[in-house]
Amino acid sequence: MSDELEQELKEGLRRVPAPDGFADRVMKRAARKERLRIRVMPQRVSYVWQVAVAAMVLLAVLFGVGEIAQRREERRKAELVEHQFDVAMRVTGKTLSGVGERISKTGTKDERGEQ
Amino acid sequence: MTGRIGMTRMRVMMAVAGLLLAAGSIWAMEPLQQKDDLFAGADKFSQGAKSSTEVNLDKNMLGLMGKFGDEGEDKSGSELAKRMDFVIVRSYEYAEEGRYNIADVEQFRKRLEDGGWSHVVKERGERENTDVCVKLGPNGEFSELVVISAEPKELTFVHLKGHMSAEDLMKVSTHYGVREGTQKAKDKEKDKEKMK
Amino acid sequence: MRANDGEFRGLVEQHQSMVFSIAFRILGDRGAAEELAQDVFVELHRSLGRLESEEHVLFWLRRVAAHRSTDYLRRRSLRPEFMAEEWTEQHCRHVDGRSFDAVAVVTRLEEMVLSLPSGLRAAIVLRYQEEMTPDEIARALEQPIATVKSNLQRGLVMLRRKAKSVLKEFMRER
Repeated sequence: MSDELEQELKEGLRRVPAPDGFADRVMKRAARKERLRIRVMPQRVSYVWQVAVAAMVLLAVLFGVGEIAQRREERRKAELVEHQFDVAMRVTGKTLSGVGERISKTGTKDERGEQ
Repeated sequence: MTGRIGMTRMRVMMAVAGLLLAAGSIWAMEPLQQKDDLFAGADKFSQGAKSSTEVNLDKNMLGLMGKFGDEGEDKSGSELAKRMDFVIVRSYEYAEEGRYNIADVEQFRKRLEDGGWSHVVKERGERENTDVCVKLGPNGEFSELVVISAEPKELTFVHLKGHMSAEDLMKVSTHYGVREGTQKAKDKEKDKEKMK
Repeated sequence: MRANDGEFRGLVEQHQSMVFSIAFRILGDRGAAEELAQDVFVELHRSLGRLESEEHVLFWLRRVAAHRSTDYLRRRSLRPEFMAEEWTEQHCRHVDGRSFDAVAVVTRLEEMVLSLPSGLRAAIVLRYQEEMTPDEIARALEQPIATVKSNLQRGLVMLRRKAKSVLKEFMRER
């Protein structure tokens, strides 16, 4: 029974022909899809470009802000360094001039003593 | 499509975050202080000091000098700073005499005995002891200067390295020293007026 | 695989009967089957670059046609019993070269297949229309081979049960 049914199924379920003009209709639809794809492509490409440009602008803005912040921070540091350098030179200058004064005083005393 | 855009957005955001992090870490980086073996341990003199002045500037920091300076300012300081490798100054002022041990200063002076230092000044007085040592560069310019000055109520260590001419040191001594002296004189006058 | 318009048309003409028949036997609706078969070929046009050989194209078409058909049924929740009546009439006009009796037997057989649940139906169609092995069906439907074998067995049991009553009835009608 099973073999018989299987045989009947093989016989009965043979392929049927596709409707007339099927291939023509497929070709038309494929061509239409292709045209649509080509038309849509530039939009997709332009969208990618828009995203890229937006990202670049965002980066530029962020780096611009970063640059300003960095310059401000550098200026702050420069002022601090200038102040510290000034302090260092004042201490050095004062010490050197103090020694110089003492040496010249000693020299004067010595000269007087010699006289 | 949306997945791809989402991925692109995520990548852009990650890149931005990465760049910001990198930039942030660069800005946040504080320059390291110049290591100074010569005066290592001198910070102990700050104990009991009325006031302490400690300056430590390395070449990178000195490079910032004059970068944002307004025109017309005296640029001699920044020009000298640019020729310096480092500037280290420690100065301690005490309210009364005997707040530091002079024997402790001696160990720093001993460090100057080695290492090719030339003693320019070696002052030993009743109240003041001063050492000024230099190292000379190949063209006869000063490449390093050390000052150790010990007064009863004031102790000063100076260590400068770079390209300094005698004229530079003279300027430092007169310009800054005189300014300091003038400022002190002005302060004293003000104090006197206040007393009146 | 690459194909110009002429070559692609050749592929459509070569396989249109197969794709249409798979869709038709699973859906039981001629209009829906044609639309679905067209969709399959349009998708083939887009995917042709990824396919490596003619055998690959054949396998791909069978797989996609079977999947799209069962998906279609699932989406529309089509009832095979309901579709069968409509289908009988449509089908009789398109079975050429067979005697009326043969057509009638085939029609009854196809009605029986259409009464099967969609999962079993796809396996039966691929097995007896396309004469694919259970292993090939498993790969095409992306199912474990044990599931395919079980579906084929269950399908045959159900068909056998139906055949007893339907064919008896058919003999009585004659």
